[in-house]
This record gives sequence, C-alpha cells and structure tokens, in this order.
Amino acid sequence: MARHSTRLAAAALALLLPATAIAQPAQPARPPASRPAPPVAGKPATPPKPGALKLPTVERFKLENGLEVAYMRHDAAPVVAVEVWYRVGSKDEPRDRRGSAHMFEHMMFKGTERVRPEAHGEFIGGLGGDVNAHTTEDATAYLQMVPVAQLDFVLELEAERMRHLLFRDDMIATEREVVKEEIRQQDNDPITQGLLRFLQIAYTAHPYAWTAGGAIADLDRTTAADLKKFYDTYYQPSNALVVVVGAVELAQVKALVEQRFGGIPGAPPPPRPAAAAPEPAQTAARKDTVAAGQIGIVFAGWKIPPAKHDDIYALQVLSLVMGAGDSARLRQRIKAADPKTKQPLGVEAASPILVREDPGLFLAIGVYRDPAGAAPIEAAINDELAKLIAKPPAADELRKAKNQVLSAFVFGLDSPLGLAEQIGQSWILTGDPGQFLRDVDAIERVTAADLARVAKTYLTPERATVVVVPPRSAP
Amino acid sequence: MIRRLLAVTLLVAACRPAPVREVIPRLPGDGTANVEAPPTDEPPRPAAKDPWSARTDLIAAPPAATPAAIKLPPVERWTLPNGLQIVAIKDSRLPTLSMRLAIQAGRAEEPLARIGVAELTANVLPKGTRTKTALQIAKAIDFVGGSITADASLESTWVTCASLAKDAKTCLALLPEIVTAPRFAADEVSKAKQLMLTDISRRLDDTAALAAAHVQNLLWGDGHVRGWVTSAAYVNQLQPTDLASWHKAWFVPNNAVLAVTGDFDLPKLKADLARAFGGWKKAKTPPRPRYQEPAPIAMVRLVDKPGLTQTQIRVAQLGLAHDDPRFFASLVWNDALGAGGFASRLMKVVRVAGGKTYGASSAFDRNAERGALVATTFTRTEETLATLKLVLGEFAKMAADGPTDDEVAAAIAHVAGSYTLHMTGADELAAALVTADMHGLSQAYVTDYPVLVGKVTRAEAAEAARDVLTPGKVVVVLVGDGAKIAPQLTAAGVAFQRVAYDAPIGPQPGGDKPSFDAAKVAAATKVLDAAIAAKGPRITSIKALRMTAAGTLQAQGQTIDVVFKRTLVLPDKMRMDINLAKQFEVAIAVVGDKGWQLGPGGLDDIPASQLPALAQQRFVDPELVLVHARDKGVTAALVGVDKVDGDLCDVIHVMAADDLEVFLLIDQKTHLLRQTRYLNGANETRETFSDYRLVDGLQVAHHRVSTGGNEQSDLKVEQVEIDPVVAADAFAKPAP
Repeated sequence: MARHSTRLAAAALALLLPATAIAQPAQPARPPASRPAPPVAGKPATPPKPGALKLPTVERFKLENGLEVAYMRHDAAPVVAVEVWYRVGSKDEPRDRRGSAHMFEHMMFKGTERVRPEAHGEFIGGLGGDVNAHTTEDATAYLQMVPVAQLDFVLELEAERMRHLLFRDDMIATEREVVKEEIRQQDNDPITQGLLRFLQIAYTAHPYAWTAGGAIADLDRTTAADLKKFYDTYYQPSNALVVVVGAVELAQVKALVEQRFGGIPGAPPPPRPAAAAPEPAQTAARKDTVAAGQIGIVFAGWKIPPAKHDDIYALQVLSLVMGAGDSARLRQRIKAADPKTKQPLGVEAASPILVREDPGLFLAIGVYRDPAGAAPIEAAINDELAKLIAKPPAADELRKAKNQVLSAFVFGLDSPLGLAEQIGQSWILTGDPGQFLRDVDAIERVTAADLARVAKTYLTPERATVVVVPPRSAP
Repeated sequence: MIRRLLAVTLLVAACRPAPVREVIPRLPGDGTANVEAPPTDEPPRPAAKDPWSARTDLIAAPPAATPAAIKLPPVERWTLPNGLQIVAIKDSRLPTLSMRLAIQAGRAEEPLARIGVAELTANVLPKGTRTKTALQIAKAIDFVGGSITADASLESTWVTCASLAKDAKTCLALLPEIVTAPRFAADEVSKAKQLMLTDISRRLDDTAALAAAHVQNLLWGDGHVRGWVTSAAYVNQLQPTDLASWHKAWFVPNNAVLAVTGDFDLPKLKADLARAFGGWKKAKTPPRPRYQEPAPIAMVRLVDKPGLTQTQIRVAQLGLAHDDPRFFASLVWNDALGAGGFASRLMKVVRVAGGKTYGASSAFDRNAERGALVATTFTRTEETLATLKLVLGEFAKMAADGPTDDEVAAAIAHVAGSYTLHMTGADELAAALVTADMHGLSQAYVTDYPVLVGKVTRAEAAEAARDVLTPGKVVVVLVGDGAKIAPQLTAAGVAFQRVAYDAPIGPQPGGDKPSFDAAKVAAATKVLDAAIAAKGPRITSIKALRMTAAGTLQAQGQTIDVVFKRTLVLPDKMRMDINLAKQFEVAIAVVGDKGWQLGPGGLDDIPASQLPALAQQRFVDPELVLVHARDKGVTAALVGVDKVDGDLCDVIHVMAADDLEVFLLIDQKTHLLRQTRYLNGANETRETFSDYRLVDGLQVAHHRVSTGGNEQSDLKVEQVEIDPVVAADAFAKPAP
C-alpha cells in the first residue's frame, strides 16, 4: 500500500477524533483512545510519572557509517515493530519533480538484487505481519510488525533495500501508473483541492507548498536516472534511523543491526533544497476561494515556528483548547446556536496543528452548509482567538488540555508500531528519538499566559491564510 | 462522520489514509507466480528479462509457523439480574480502562419509514441525559482526557467510554446514564441531523462512498433493508419521538453485552457495574424484521458523474453468514482472490501486472445474517471496461478452479498468522469475544480460529469457492464519467442502467412501492414462462375452474373437518362452498367488487372491509396466479431464491394494482409452483403445494397446506374440473 503521510496531521487530528472503529463486526477492537501524544520538540526534562506508570526508555546508538538506531523494550506480546526512517520527504524534491519522494517509496517494494518485486511484502504477509510505508513533507518511513523471532529477517530485508535496489524501465513505467491512480483519487475531491490550494498560497517560497502527492505531470517527467540519483543521494545509512520496539534485548538489537547494516559504507550529507528556500514572514492576509463542493469548508491557517522551537508546546496546548473534544472552544462556538440568528454557524470544527521540521501550520477549520456561511465562520475563528488573547484560559481549561495530552500519551504506549512511529517522528523533528517521552513534562509547564502570548504572536489576522470551499447551492 | 472527514482530508491531501494502528498488510506476490495472462485488449508488454532467475543467493521466506490456538488470558463473564451480560479482561500493563457496550440492534432493524434512526439515535445519545446537558457531558469526559462515543452499525450499536484508570468513575457515571436515560433534546437532535445531512451531501463528492451505497442497493434491491440507503429525505423526517421509540424498543439490558478491559480490581468492578446498571429495566424486544434474499442476477449500474477522471468499480454478490460452515474455507480462497493484499490475484492482475489501479481487493461482510462479497477497485476512465473484465475474469477463474496449493499455503500463513499476531491485547480479545457472542459463535471460535484456518485443504477451498461464487450473476457498479464509460460498455455489448450521481438511491419516503430492476423483471418472465409450460400451456386459455377438496382446519386451538369447493369464472367471479365440521354450510360469492355470504347466521352482503381479502384469495388461486402474474398492469420480478421442503425455488414477487401482492416460489427443477406467500391482514400466509397430478393436460397440486396467523389448513384435492359447466345463477345473490 506504500502510502505517505502527514504523520503530524494524523497525530494532531487523532486527538480530535472519536475512535469508532470498534463498531466493525467481528473485527478486533482498537482501543478508543490509542492516540499518539503530539510529537514535539523541546529541551530535555525530567520524564513525567503519570500515576504508577513506569515510563519506558529509548536507547540510541550509532554505527560507524552514521546509521542511527533507536530501541525500546515492549513486552506486551511476542512481537517486534521494525521501522526504517529516511530523512527525505517532499520538501527535498526538485521543483519540477514534485511527487518523486513518494514515487520512490513505491520503488522500494519493486525488487532488489536478492529480493523479487513485491516479495518483501509477501514475506511479511506470510508471517502474519504488517508492512507499509509512508511519505510526508519531511520523511519517508518503512514499517513492519512481525513475530519477535523474525527480527533478523526483517533487518536483512531492510538492509538489502537500503543499497541494493534494482531500477528497471518496465517496472518503473507500470508503477508510475499505479502511483498516478493513487494521486488521481484526490483529483475530483473539492475539499482536498481546497487544502492543496491553501498550502500553495500559504507557502510562497518553501516546498511545503506541495504535499508528498506531488503532481501527475511531474511524475510523467521522472526518469529511471532521476530515481537512481534520488536513491544514491538520500537512501544512505547516514541519513536513516532504524527503530526497533518489542520483546527483544538491547544486546541482540545491537548485534543484529551491526551485522546487517554495519558493512554499508557511509556517504556525504545530502543536499537540502528547502534550506535555500526559507519562507518569508507573512505580512498581509491571503485569501482564495476554490470550486464548490457539496459541503462548505473554511480553512484558516497560520505559519508557526519549526518543531524545535519552544513555542510549539504552547501552540499544541492551544490547539487542544480550541478543538479537542466536544467542549473545546471553537467546536462549541461553531456548533452552538448563534444568539442573533438562533442557528448554528456550522456543523463541525477542528483546530489541528501540523508541526514540521521547518515552519508548520496551525489550522482552524469550519464545516458548514449555508451558502453564506463562510464569512461568519471566519469571523468567529478570529473572535475566539481574540478572546483568548484578551483573557487567558482559566486553570480548569488549561488542566483539561494537559489531561488530554497525558491520557493520549498513556494510551499511545500500548502499540509497538505506534511507539515506533513516535520514535521516528521525534527523530525527524528534533533529532532525538526519545524526545516524545519528555514532551508531556514540557507540556505540563505551559501556562495560560503562554497560550495568549503565542496566539498574539503567531495567530493574527494579518498572518492568516484563508481558503474557502463553498457549498454548492441547493438545487 | 465529519470529524473523520476532516482527518481524512488532511491525510488524503498528504496521501495517507491510514493511521498507524490501521496499517494495511502489504502482502505476498512476486508479480509472476500463479498469474495467467490477463484477458486484456491491450497488446502484451514484451516480457522483460528476469534478473533474478540466475541468482542463487536470493533471500528466502522463513518457514510459516504452524497455526496454533490463541491462548486467552483469564476472561471473567457474568450476567446481571436484569440480563446484561458482561465480559471483562484485566490488563494492568497500562493504567487505562475501556468500556464498550454493544446493543444488538442497528440499521438492519430500522423500519423503512425510519431509515437513519439507528445512526441518529447513537449520535444523539451522548448529547444529553435526564440530569446532564451535552456540554456537561463533554466537559466531564474532556476534563479527564477520555473519550465517549456511540456508533450504529448494521446489526449492533456500540457505545464506548475510555479513560485513564484513575478516572474510571467518570465512565462509570456517564456511560450507563447516556445508555439508559438519554434526553433526545430537540436542539441536539437538530444538530445531529445537520451533521448526518452533511455526511449524506458529502457522499456525492466521495466516489468511493457513492459506489459503496449503490452496490448495496443494486445487490439487495429496494425490498431489502440492506438495499436501503440513508437519504436526506428520510433524515429530515426523523423526530425526537422516533429516537425515543427506537431507544425504548432496543436499548434494554437483556439485548446488550458490556466488555470491560484494562486495569481494574474485579470485586470493585463487579460492585460498580451492579450499581451503575442495576436500575436498567429488562424488557422484551420487538420481533426482528426478516427479508427475502435476492436472487443472483447479472446487473450493471453506471452512476454518471461528468468530469471524473477515475472510475470506482464494485463487483458484488451474496456472501456468507458468519456461522456458515464454509466460512473458514472461504477465508482461504478469498485471501487468494482479493483479501491477501499483494499475494491476491486481483492485486497482481489489476495493479502489479496492469498498472491500472492503486488498490484491488475483495471482502466478505462478517454479519450474523448473510452479507455480501464485494470486490473493490478503481482506475482511470479509459481503462474502466478493461479493468472490470480483469476482475470478472478472476471471479470466474476462482469459481472454476479454486486456489492453487501454493495459494492455499500462503493464505493459511497469512490469515492464521495475522489473526495470531493481532489477537494479543485485551481490547482485541474482548471485542472478538463479544462479536462471537452476538453472532451465535462460541469462545472456541476465537481461540481456534488459526487452527481451523490451518485445517482447510485445497479441495475444501475449491469446493467452497465453486459453491459460493456466482460468476456471471454478479452486480456491477461503475461510478465515473458516463459519457466516456457508456460507449465502452455498449461496444462490448454490456447491458446497463444509467443513473445520475445525485439521483436518490433506493426507496424514498412517500414514493411508490419499490420498483423493480428491468433485469429482475426479465428474469421473472423467463421463470413464469417455464412455469406455465410445466403447468400445461392450456392454463392461459381456460375460462373457468372448479376444485373440490377436503381436509382439516385448525384454528384457535381446535381442529375441525372441512370440505371445500371453489368455483372460479374468469375474469372476476368466485364462489366458495364450505362445509365445516360436517355441520355448517357456508357459501361465499364475489363478482367484481360486490359479494354476499350465506351461512348459519343468514344472508348478508360482504362488508367492504372484507372484500380486499377475498380479492386476494381470487388473485392467489394456485391454478390461475401464474396467468395473473402476466396480466397487464401486473409487475413480476425475480427477487430471490429460497427452499421449499429442501428444493431450491426461484422467488417471484408479483405486484398488481390495488395492493394485490404475492410471492411465488417456483421449483427450479420441475418449474411447478411450490408455495405462495402473501399477507392476510398483518400475518403472512404460506400455501404449500405438492402431489402434482395431470388433469386434462394441467399439472394440479393435490395436496395443499396453508399456514398463517393462528390458522392452518391441510386439504386433499378430490376433484378438479377444467372449464366446467357453471349454473347461470351460481353467483347471483339468493333471495332472502
């Protein structure tokens, strides 16, 4: 399935989402709140101790060729999650090759010198395991979960495809069509088109202006030579992190990783085109309206600092105060009846935060049906932010948001694959695979005044980008 | 779900629909093994040189583990005095607690006039109780960082609450209250309706959801609950009182199962639950509606949305009930067909070899009742027909030959291994146990699942595939640009119906009776023609008929003898002379829309209220009903298959004007009418016919058993007269 993702969007949105998946007949339940804690940056701090919880630790080590390794013990079941993270995403793509990082992710399943096309996935499936991949703006990750006895086998497969991929024109031609079908799924969705337009105007210089999906025209231009060059530049041990979470010993992990990856030569650091394209500060509001959809949606958003910036913690708490749970400010405001009209402004709202390696986004989203609904929703979003700046939240409301972080963090400790994702994400965003374990503590230190301050600093009307997908008028 | 939609939007834009907990297995398939050349119109690509054939150092697959039974942790089960069943699995690794309550009622129990009531009720449950407002509930659960949700699925409604274990008292207070004492306040119902309406509108922009709705409607038909699709018109009709009635009918403790998992102290939990749910009153639930299963028929529906660049393709047929004996064998062949990710034939043929799609799969519903088998894929508009052919080709091949030995081994390794790997946490186990309970399966189903999968042989899988798959009789839905797809279908000689993407799907409130698909009507015509040929063609030209029969009638606990003579003169005269208990003589006659009866009580005109029942009697007469079914103004459709005394029969739904309606069950082998089913008041009457004998060129059933309501009759035919001489005054009302 080789997908790519904005893992942070998933993390942020997961906090907003009710887990309803258990209503599926005869399928194992997912814990209602298996929500990963927001992976964010920050300075090392004393790990928090929620209740009687014994906090796990992340061990990290580095091979001579520069490969980083992160390990966490997890004994709940005889399984092990193995992920390999490459520090390469759509922000590393040339501007006329948008989508190549994701297309490359597909190539990683299409055969190496010693593994036939699709056999990697076939092997894992035959073990009853899970295998997948995802590409974001910042990273590409390959994941598997298998019975614990198969750790070495998975490491062997991952080491093989790190440097021994085969590039064949006929395979590339067919797989390009597969990728185009994946991208084409969003062609005709007005809401997706609205979000893509939003990113396009929110970022005038930085490659966050496009997503990992890229553009079909660019995919058609991408040659085998392009892909080979991409591989040799970014798929190197010194640009990767191996994550192992499961019922295995550290000594065993050290020995096996050294054995499978140690012989791969190191490589020079890859180029970072995004570093040469910093996003200039926004000084005036930007607005656009795209083609109508069946329902209306307002995307309002503000650029925020990179993941390593300390203000990210306060912005994350703010995102929860605005949009997490039915009682959150923005959701109440949009869904409650307006005192004047007696009608709700919209039907749903959310305020996800997209924390990225470079400057990310704080979003406020309203969904509505009334054709005249966009302007009142936009005004309500600004009004809620103004209220918060004028009067910082009370202690209870702040406590609620912190409890939400804590609870999500604890539920997130349940799944080896989920933990491996958080470890990889921490590494991409902060350089430290164990950072997410310390984030709860940093969140705990956020004050109400911090919320007002970051709102006033970053979430102001002149820094806003707004894109409206209007609802099609009733027939 | 709009909140889900928001998530999906951001994820889709970044191309990642699945959060990590929902990682989709990416599975076996080397792109060449076991794949026959796809039946495509394109010239085959020249085969590339296989760069692996000469190598001796390929990485080999590790041996598959032998499937072993799942070892359950201690499972606590008890039942409260009010009938609430509880399943609890302790797991103290993390300080969390989850409660999931399953009510055994969902969309399948909704009456036609209240489509959407199960979902709307669930959505409004957490929005206020007798003592708390929606905001108070939200604040309480949000403050502890917990979650509370309610969701209606097809056969059940799940209400869940999860929090840190130290905050368990919040869930223990909220969950019982929203389940037992919801308020259904008008403003909250109104908000929830707006959200549902938004989801329904959104479906028109979401081609996958649109295709899913259409394929269920096309497969099950307008006359089956599974063919009904929630629409704006239905949701707009729903009122708070409808939600309250739904809740009162189904949300009772003896119709519910509660699963608790996480870090708890068992004695305390038992006391807490007894207190929390003890006041919930036991009550009888209404009878569950039953529907006629559709017959397998080939139908193609093109859902036209101009401008789309990609076509959503669905191929569907009837599947299995969860407790079907062919279930495990079918898991195996379906894994090889489409459920095994990259190991499956659909993925290999449509994606890997053809590059026509990103995903292709097939999946069975797992319901207590029989569900569907649906294959799903999508492709660029130009490749629509070619891709559809590939999918249909794989259905046909699997039905004909079953999976190969290698495929069976790979499927067992995948299905059993995956179940074992994922069935490890208390949450997963509890949900699986509750579902097994609700589907009438035992705990052994959960523990032995991998072992039972492992025992499936190639022969069993092949037999199940042959038995279950109905290639050539599948329904197909294509959602795409009609102007570009229609010519592809037409050129290939594929008959199809074309509907606009924004046209209502299925029955609508205030609409006419369900209308029948042309394909089903055509199929019924064939069956009826064969039935008339089997009966004796002269049935279409007779003018009158008289039958005398004798037997017993059971009613109100008594059995009495009956002798019965019925005279019919076409088109609209009927007289019945009945001798009851060898004592009473009753005569009843109907001509057109008037009638009289003469009995021990004297002579009376038949009251208008009883005339429809007599018209029904005239209409369903087993000799003439085959002819009536072909009358002008009467519609007949093949709607299903059912068994009578173990023999397979086609089910024909016959509808005439003035509400006359009957189901005919016609034997697939002999083509004789074996049973009629029709409503007699609120009760269904079934008349079963056997002992057919030839009388003057007509096959006449000489044994007739009728059951319905509290009555049953058993009659042996003594004499049948075709075109008898009927006295001129036979139908005239006697002088008083």
